[in-house]
Amino acid sequence: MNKKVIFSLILLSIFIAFLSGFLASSSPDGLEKVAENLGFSKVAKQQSSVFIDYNFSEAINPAISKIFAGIFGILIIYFIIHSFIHLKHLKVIIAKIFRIDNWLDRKNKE
Amino acid sequence: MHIPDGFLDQKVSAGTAFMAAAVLGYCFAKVRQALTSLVPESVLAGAGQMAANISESSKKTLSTFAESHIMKMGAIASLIFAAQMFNFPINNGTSGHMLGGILAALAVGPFSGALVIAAILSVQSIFFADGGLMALGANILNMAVVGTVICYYIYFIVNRTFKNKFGYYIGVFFASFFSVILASVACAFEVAFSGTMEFSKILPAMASVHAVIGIAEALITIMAVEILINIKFELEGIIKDE
Repeated sequence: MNKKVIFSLILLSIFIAFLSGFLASSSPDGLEKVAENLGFSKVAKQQSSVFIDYNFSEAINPAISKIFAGIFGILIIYFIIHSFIHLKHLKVIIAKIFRIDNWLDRKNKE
Repeated sequence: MHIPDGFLDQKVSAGTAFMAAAVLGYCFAKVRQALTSLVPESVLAGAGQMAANISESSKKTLSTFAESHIMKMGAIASLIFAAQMFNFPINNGTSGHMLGGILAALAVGPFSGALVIAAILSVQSIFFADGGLMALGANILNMAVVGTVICYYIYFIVNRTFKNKFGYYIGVFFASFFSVILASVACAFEVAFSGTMEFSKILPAMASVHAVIGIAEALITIMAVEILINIKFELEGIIKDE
C-alpha cells in the first residue's frame, strides 16, 4: 500500500465531484419524491448551514459552485478520518478533558 | 435517503441516536483494538526507572499497518462522498444517488466502513444541510449500521456458501441491492413510528423507488471494486479463498 494509491483515489473523487457539478440530476431523490407523492414534504424544516444544497456561493455559476463545495467536502472528510491516526491518544485526551487522568492511572495500577 | 429535520418526532430521534451511538462506540472500540498494540517490553526497558511512571493507556501504540489503514479509510470516504453527490436520474422525475456502505465495508472491513459512512453523514449534515442534525442518529442507523454492517453479512454468508468467483459477484450484488432496500425500509419504519405517515402507505412507496436505486447501487459497487482491485488497493473486507 503506498501513498500514490491514496492520492490517486482523492484525485478520482475530485474528478467525480467535477463531473457531478455538470451532470448530476437535480430531481428530488427517493425519499423526497415519496414525501411529495404522499403529501408530507411540507413537514420538512430547512436547516441553516454553511453550504446549503452543495452551493458554495450564490454569486457564481451553480455548476462551479457545486464543484467548489464538493472539493471542500472531500478534503474535510479526508482530514477528519486522517485524524484517527491520533486514536491511540484518545483515552488520554478524554481523561485530560474530564480531569480523571490521575484516577484512571491509579485504577490501572491496582 | 437523508431524512431532513421535521419527519421524525423527538422520541424516535432520541431512540435512534442512542442506538446509533451504541453501535458506533462498539465499532470504534473494535477498530481501535485492531489498530493498536502494546509497546514491546524491550522498548520499555530502555526507559529504565521512568517506565513505572508511564500510564497503562500510554503503553499502547499504533500497529505498523494502522497508518495505511486509516489513510485508506480517508481515501474511500472521500470517494464515497463524491459518489453521493452524483445524483443519477431514474424513472418518474426521481433521482437516486449511491449509498456506498457495501463499498466501504469491502474496502476497509465492516466496522471501519461504518465509521466511514457515519463520518460522511455527519459532514453532510453539518456543512451541507443534507439530512437534518436532529435526524442524524436515524440516518446513521439506517445507512451506517443497517446499510453497512448488517448487509456486509449478506455478502459474507453468500460468499461462504458458493466459494467461487460467481459467489463473490452474487454476494456483492445482493448485499449492495439489499443495503439500499433495507435502509429505505428502516427509514420508512422511523417515519411511520413518528406518526408522520401511515406505515401501509410509506413502506411500498419507499421500497419500490429504492429497488431501482438498489440495482444501480449494485452495478456501481461491482464496478468500483473492480477499479480498486486494478489500481492495487488492498481490499480488507473481501474474503480470500483458502
